[in-house]
Amino acid sequence: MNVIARGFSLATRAMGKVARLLPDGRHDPLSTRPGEIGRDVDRLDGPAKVSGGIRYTADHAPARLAYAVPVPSAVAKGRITAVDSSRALAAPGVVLVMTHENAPPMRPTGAYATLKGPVAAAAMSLPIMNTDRVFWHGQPVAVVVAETQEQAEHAARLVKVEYAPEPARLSMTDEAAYTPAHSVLEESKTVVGDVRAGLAGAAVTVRGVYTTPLEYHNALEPHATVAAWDGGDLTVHDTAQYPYGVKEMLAKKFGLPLSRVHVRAPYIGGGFGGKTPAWPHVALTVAAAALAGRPVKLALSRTHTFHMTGGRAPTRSSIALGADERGRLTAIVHDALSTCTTDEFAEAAIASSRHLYACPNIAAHQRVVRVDRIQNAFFRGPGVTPGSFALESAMDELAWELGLDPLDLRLRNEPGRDPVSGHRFTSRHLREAYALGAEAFRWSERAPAPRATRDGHWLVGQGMAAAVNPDTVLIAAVKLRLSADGTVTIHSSTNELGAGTSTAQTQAAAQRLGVPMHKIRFLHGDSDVAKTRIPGASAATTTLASAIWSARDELVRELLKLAEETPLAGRRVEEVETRDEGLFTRDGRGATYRRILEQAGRDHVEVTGKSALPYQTIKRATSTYGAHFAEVRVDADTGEVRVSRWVGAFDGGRIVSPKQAVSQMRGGIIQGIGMALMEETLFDERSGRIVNASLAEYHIPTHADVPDIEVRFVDLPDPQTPLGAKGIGELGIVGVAAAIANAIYHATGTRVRDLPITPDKLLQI
Amino acid sequence: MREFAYVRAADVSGAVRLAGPRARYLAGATNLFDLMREEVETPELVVDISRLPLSAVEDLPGGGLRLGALARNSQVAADDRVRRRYPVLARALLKGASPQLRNRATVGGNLLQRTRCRYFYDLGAPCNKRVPGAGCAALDGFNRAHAVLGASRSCVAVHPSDMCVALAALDATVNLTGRDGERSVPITDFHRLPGETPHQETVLREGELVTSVDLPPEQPGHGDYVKVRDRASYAFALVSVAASLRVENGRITRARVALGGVAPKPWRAYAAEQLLAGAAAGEAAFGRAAEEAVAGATPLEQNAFKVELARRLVRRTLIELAGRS
Repeated sequence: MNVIARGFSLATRAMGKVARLLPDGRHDPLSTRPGEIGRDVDRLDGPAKVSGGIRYTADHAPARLAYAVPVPSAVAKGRITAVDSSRALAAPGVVLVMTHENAPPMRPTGAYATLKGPVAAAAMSLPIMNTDRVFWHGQPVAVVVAETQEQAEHAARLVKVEYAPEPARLSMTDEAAYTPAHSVLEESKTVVGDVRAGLAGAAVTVRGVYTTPLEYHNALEPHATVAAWDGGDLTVHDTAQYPYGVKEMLAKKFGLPLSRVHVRAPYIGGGFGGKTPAWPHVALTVAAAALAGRPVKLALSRTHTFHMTGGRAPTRSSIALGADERGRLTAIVHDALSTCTTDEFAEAAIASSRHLYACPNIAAHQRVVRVDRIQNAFFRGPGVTPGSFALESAMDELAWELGLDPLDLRLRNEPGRDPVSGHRFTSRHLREAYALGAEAFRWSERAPAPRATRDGHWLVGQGMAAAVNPDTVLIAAVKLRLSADGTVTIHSSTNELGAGTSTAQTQAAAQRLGVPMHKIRFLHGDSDVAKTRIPGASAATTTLASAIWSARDELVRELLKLAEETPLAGRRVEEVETRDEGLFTRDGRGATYRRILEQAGRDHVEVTGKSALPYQTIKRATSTYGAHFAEVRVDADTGEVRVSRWVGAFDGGRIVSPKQAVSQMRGGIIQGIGMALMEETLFDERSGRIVNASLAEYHIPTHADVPDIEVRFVDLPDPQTPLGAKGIGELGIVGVAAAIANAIYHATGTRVRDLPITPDKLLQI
Repeated sequence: MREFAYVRAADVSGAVRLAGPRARYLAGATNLFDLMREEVETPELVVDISRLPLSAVEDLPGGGLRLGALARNSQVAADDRVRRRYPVLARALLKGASPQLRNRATVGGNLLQRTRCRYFYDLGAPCNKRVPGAGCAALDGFNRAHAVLGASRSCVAVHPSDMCVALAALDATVNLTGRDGERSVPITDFHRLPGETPHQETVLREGELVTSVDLPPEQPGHGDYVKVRDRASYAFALVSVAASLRVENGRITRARVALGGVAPKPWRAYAAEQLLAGAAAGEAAFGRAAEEAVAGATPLEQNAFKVELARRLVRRTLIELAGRS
């Protein structure tokens, strides 16, 4: 997810002590100033969204559009020996059938997740549909294009593909495990101190094995691509979290200059990392449009999103913790296993164990097994989400062993510096989050023993868990246009995933420029605006704010050049403030934007702003933090679990748009409830098939599964980040599963270490 | 979806005349269309009966109630007579599917809904129900949701309905019209066990149409429908229980126990009922009845928990019903 930070972290290691000589992050004067930032405003795109006014990717229907449906492979590994398209071609409305025999060549690219090679959004390096090889069950082996969606769906079933199957590796087994070169943002192997001595000298130790299953993002909007060629230009509407990366990928695959590829993705109906990489259907849609000589739309069915896009790899974590009699950690051992494919991407379950607690002896080791499945993907809180289930469950077990309150145990191990790198934090207010959450939840009223509270059939319990998620600032550029009427338009290449980015950026820009929100338009999702690399990583808010900050400085510079007829003549950039819809010195002299442009006879001024290099992420440890407090009710007879109360308290620096932020955290917590209690992809290891590739059988929470969720923010600005903010997008889900497992233990006295915690796992209570 | 012919029936006899061996009746379309899109069902002719006048809920002489085959699940669940006289049915309906689906789904369609076994839906997996003789991928596959009672080596799929479990406990009767006239079948005989022919799921003859379901007059006592599932709403039952109990002077004079989620059809626990009849209402009898309800269960690798869960749920439900008496 985090190419830049990854590059930095590698560079940091190479540079060693040189990093200390780097400057700190630039302090943003806006970070402590009241104004639009921090104000509770409604989502700007809300009315359009709820009234059907937003056009999502699959809503685009250019003239002469044809519809494409992919054909999934029926074997997990092998070769295609024959394709018979004759029946499909004879079916009503069929325009063409594309297979590896007639597909235009698509140049292979590096896979994005491996963080190798050119930065592009390709999900995998495999040459899909330019080869007769089959790499996973469900791989697209043909694409049928027809006049209507229904005709294409029908004809897709008429394509007969024969295979020479080969034995596939489908299971996550220790024998085939190896240590990957890196584990996304984290080193695969970490050794600090001597864990053997730390465990040997511990007064109390706990050990456990924790597993999480293959999970799928299941964004409400399934993936879709609409591709249209116009001469040498290619325009693609795509459900891309990373439009600029898709542009680069398509340019490379089809041998086009970047300037001829236009990717549009203004609105995304949820992504969660599942739309960060471009899955094979994106390029296949473009190829089909080239073959057909007309625009083509390919919208994956829900079932095909399971077959043709990747989810979160399963994980297995073996944890050992040691602590002295006062509850101070003496050892953290975390051995994690997950799966990857030809393209190496480790779901780094070890991540939390490297950053959350002070401990002199830490050993964290991530291993992976290459399997013949579809490439696994980023998924909200990569690594930290499954890994924190393991670590935070183990911490709870340790607290019971020690006879300590789990919150107290965590407070006793709160570090002053990053426990692995030794770096100082830019800011870390986890203590404050613990206090906020505990008070709101009334944690101190919890019964001291497990299985102590009963309400009819229901056993009631409370649990908590901590969360840490890396924070970073990536690369973005924006174009800012100030018009003669005083309105501002900001163009960016990032998109609106549904998190409220456009609202938050409008708030921040309003305060940055001293212009009321209603005079600012924030446009997003056009890859042509500027190179922008925000594929995810919860980095949109700060990265865009950094770019807009620099655009503001550029704008001031330009305006001062034009302001020779105003009291601003001869002033330098540092001497003026952007406020009250204009430029003013501290002594109140200045001119409005309108006046400056009017006097200069200008219709508009346009500037570009680029995000600043985030030195603070190299020099210091930057993360967001959280504390979840959960109450569950467990039916003593049936094992059914209902989450009945929730308080999440978070340190995400200064909160730019509280209403959107609360909503974002709630969404993460709900997704975490799903992970804890119901989400599981049934992967049939006999055949490589995903058995429950549908929302009827892959359960996500319904409204009835979700309690009132109270969200609190520490809301203290980070002194080194744009706006004083940190990226909170993924933070909400981290730690949720452990908080629930811990609450279930408190309710029942039963510890469940494998997710999801379905009723059958609690029948022995 | 395959191409199919569509015809709208003008009346019941017309519908029955139209429906040949490769025909399907279309009512709420909540299950049939899904199956057609997946090409699990590939009818050549779809006979739309949704506009036939079969949606009334009417009192029967003698105190029973007739549910038209096209009455919507939501309509039946909200019907005041159903709520008052057959609360077990209203509760079962409300614990099924989602409000949107209940607004479309009909009584007749609910009776005829197909199993949710994923291998049945997956055209790439062997399934004796879909292709007789092909084999069963669930036997040693993902079978956590599958049957522990009444299944065979040919098929271990469960019937997914909540409504039918309540109907079984209520001794409902299914009214049918076919080419040879009308007939009635007790709900408990309507669905077949798979044996060697899991593709034959009901006793319906070719072209036969469900026109209504009759509920016998209300019986004194108390009834309930309880359902355990993997999430709080919108999930099929792991185990469900429809039960009613009449207790007079501390003795059980009438008991009905039906189970859902555990068998290829709505499962009446007759032996348990016999054990209860005449017994002293107490935990001992309820415990024995619960044992009897799952006697002979043959769990698979992943679903042994259903046996214990069913046992507990039957016992608890009976205790609660006795407590209300």
